[in-house]
Amino acid sequence: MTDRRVRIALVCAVALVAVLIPFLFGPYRVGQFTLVLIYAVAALGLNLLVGYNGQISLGHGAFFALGAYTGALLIEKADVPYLATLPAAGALCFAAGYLFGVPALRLRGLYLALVTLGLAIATPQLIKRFDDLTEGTQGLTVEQPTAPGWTGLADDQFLYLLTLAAAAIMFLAAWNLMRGPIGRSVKAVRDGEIAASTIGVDLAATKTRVFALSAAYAGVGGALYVLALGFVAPEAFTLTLSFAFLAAIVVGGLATVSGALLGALFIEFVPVYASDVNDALTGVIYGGVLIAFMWVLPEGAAGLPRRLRELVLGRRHPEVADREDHLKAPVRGVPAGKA
Amino acid sequence: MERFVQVVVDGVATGSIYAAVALALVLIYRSTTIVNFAQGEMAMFSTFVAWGLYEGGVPLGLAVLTTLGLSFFAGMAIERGLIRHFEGGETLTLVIVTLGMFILLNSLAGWIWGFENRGFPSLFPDDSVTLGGVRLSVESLGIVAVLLAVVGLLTLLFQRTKVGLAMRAAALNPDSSALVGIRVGHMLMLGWGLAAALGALAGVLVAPRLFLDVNLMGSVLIYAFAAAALGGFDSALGAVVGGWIIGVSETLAGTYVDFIGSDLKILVPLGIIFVVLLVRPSGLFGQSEVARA
Amino acid sequence: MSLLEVEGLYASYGQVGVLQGIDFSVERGQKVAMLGPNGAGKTTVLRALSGMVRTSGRADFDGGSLLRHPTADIARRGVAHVPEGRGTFASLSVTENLKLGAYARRDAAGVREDLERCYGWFPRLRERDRQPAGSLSGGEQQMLAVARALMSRPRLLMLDEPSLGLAPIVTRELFGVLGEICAEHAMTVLLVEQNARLALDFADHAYVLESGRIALSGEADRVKSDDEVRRSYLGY
Repeated sequence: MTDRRVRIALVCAVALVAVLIPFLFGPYRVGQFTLVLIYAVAALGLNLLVGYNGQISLGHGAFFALGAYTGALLIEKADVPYLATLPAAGALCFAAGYLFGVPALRLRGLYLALVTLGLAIATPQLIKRFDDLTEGTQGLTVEQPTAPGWTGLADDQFLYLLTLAAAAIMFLAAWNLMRGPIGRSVKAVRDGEIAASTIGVDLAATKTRVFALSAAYAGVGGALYVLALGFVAPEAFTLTLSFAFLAAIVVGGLATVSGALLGALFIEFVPVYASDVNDALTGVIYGGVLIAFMWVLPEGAAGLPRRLRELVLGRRHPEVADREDHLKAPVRGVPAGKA
Repeated sequence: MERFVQVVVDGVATGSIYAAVALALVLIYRSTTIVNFAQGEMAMFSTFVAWGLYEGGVPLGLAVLTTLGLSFFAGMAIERGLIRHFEGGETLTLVIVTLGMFILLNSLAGWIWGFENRGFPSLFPDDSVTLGGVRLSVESLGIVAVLLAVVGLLTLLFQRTKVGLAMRAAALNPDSSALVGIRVGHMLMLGWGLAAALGALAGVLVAPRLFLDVNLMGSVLIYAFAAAALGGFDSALGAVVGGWIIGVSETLAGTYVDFIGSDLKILVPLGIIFVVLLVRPSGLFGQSEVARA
Repeated sequence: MSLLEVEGLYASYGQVGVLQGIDFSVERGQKVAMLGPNGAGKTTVLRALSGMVRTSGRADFDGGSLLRHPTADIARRGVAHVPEGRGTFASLSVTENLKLGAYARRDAAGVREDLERCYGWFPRLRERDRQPAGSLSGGEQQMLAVARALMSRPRLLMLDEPSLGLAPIVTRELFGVLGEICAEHAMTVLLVEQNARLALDFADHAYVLESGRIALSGEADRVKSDDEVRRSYLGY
C-alpha cells in the first residue's frame, strides 16, 4: 500500500508544482511549459493508441493539425468563443479518426504504420492545397485569449492555467478510462488479439474507437496549440511533428499516463538546446534517443524507478521480466548476441 | 500517342526505381519479417557518399561501384550491430528502432553535407533514342535495363547458388537451418547487405532526376512500400511488377489528371495500397496473410 | 572415450527446469534409445545437445564440449539432429532439402554421390525430387528429414520421435531402412522415442527418462525381456 501512497503523493506534488509554475517563471518559460502541456495531451492520445492498444500510428501530427486548423477557423471565420473550440476540435477529430480508422484498422500493424506515415507526409501538402480555407503557406493568425480582469493574471499566465486545466481533465479522463473495464479490453487487444476475441472483446470496434479517441486527444492538443501560439502554418505540422510525438511516448514510457508528460518535457526542451548547437543535431538526438531507449530502457522514463529498484534490489517483477524478454528476444536459432 | 508512350516508359523507369527499393524491403522482410523504415534514408546516405566521392575526383562509375560495396558492408554492420539485438521481438520495438534510424540518418546526412539540394550526375548520357517511331530517353531505358539486370542476378543468386539456397532456408526456417549448419546470423547480415546495396543503387539512379538532398528518398520510400504491398510483401516478382504499376499510374495521374498535380501525387500510391489491401490482403503475388488485421 | 559423454546435465526453458542432472553416454557405433513418458524431457535432451536450450553440466562430443556453442557449430561438428516434427523446408523442393543437409560439406562430388545413395535408400524421394517438401506425406517427410541428416555424413545421428504421427506400417518401413543404413555404416545413433517396443528392437542400449532424471539404464535386450521394467516404466 505504500506504493500507492507514494504514487498519490507524487501526483499531488507534481500538480502543486504545475500550478505554481506561472508564478515562478517569466513569460518565455511559461510559454514553453504551456507547450509541454499541449504536447502531453497529444502524446497521451498517441500513447492510448500505441502503448495501451498496441497499434502503430505515424500520422498523429495530421490530427493535431486538423484540430489546430479547426480551432483557428472556428475562431477567425465563425467567431466561436475559444473555449468552445476545444470540444469542437476534439469531436471533429474523433469523427475524422473514426472515419480513417474503419478501413485503416483492417490493415495489420506495418501497413497501418505505412498508411499513417503517408498521411503525415501528405499533411503539409494537403493544408497548402486547400489554401482558400487555410491561407496555405501564409498561415492563419488567430486572436488569442486574454486574461479577464478579475483574475489579476498576465496573459501568458492565464493561457498556461487554462491549458493546465484542460490537460488535467484530459489526463484524468484517460487515466480513469484505462483503469476500468474499457481499459482492460483495450490492453487485451494489445496483448493478444486472438485471446482477446475469445473473451468477447470486439476487436474492430475497440481498435477503431481507440484510434478515434487518440485522434480526438490530438485534436484538442491542436486547438490548445492555436490558442497558445496565436498562429498556424503548414510548416508546423510536418513529419517531424509525428515523429516527435512518437519519440515522446517512447522516451516517456509506453502504456503509462505519466509517460506522456515526461515525453512532452523531452520533446519541448531537448530540441531547443540541441538547435542551439546545430540544427541537424535535433534529429540525430531524436533518432539516437529512440534507439537507445528501446535498447536500454524499453519501458521509457516512466519505467526508470522500477528499473532502478530492480538494479538495487536485484529482483525482477515477473510481469516486467516477461514483457522485457518479449521485447528483446533473440533470433531463433542464434543465441542472443552471437554471430 | 507518342506522348502517351513516353509517359508510360517514363513511368516504367520511375517504377523500376521503386521496384529496386521495394526489392530491398522484401528481401529484409522475407528474411527477418522486419520492415525497414530506414531503407530510404540508408539509400540517401549512400547516394551522398557517392556524391562525395565524385566531387572528390573519383570517376562516376567507380564512385558508384565503391558506394555499392560500402553500402553492402554498412548494411551488414547495421544488422549485426543494431538490429540483431531486437530481432524476434515485438513489431512495435522494431518499428521504433528503424524509425529512429530514419531520423538519425536523415539528420546526420544534413549535418555532414548540409540541407541544400544539389545536382547528381546521371550514369547515362543525356540522349534519346527512337524506337518504333517514339523518342525515348536513354536514361529511362537505362534504368529499366539496370533493374532487369539486377533482378536477373538476384534470381541467379537465390535459385542457383549454395549461399542463395541457404539464405532462402534461413528465412523459411531458422531453426532447421541451424540444424544443418547454416549460420543464420550470417545469412541475415547478407540479406541486409544486399538490401543496402540495392537501396544505394536506387538512390544513384533517382538522384539525377529528383536532385540530391536529405529528403531524396522520402517519397520514394512510400512508393516502394506501396509497390511491395501491392506485390505482396513476400514476393520479389511482386515487388517489381508492383513498382512498375505504381510508377506508371503515378506518372499517368500526374500528367493527365489535373487535380492531382505534383505535390499530391503521393496520395496515389497510398490510395492504391488502401484499396488493394482491403480487397486482396496478400497482394497480387503474395502467399501469406501479411496484411489482414 | 565414448563418442558422447553426458554428466550432470541440467536444462531449462526460461525459469522452468526440465532436466535435473542426467548422466549417460553413447559409444561409437552404438545405437542408444532414450525412452520415457510424455513430458519426461526426452526432446529436451536432444535440444540441449544441439545448443537450443539453456544448460549447465557437462556434455562432451568426441572430447569437445557441446554446451554454450551455437547450434550451427554443433551441426558442423558432425551432430545431425532430426527434430521433432521433422523440420523440413516445406516450400523448398526435396532435392533442395537434401542439398541443404550437405550445406557444411565442401566435397561437391561426394555430395552428389550421397544424394544418389539417399535416393537409393528412399526411392520414393527420388520420385518426388522436384516437389515441394510440404506436399509429401508424413512418412515421406520423415524419410526426407532422416535423409537430410544423413547427407551431412554425421558422426552422431540424433532422432526425435521419428514415429510420431506415422502409421505403423510406415514406421516399420522407416526403421527397417534405418537398421540397414546403420548396419552398413556403423552409424552411432541416439534415438528418442515414445514407441518403446520399436526403439528397443532397434537399439543396443536404453535409458528411461522420468521427470527429468534417468530412472533406468540397461542393455536393450534385457530391458525388453524384463516384464517388471516394461510394465512400470514403459507401459506395456
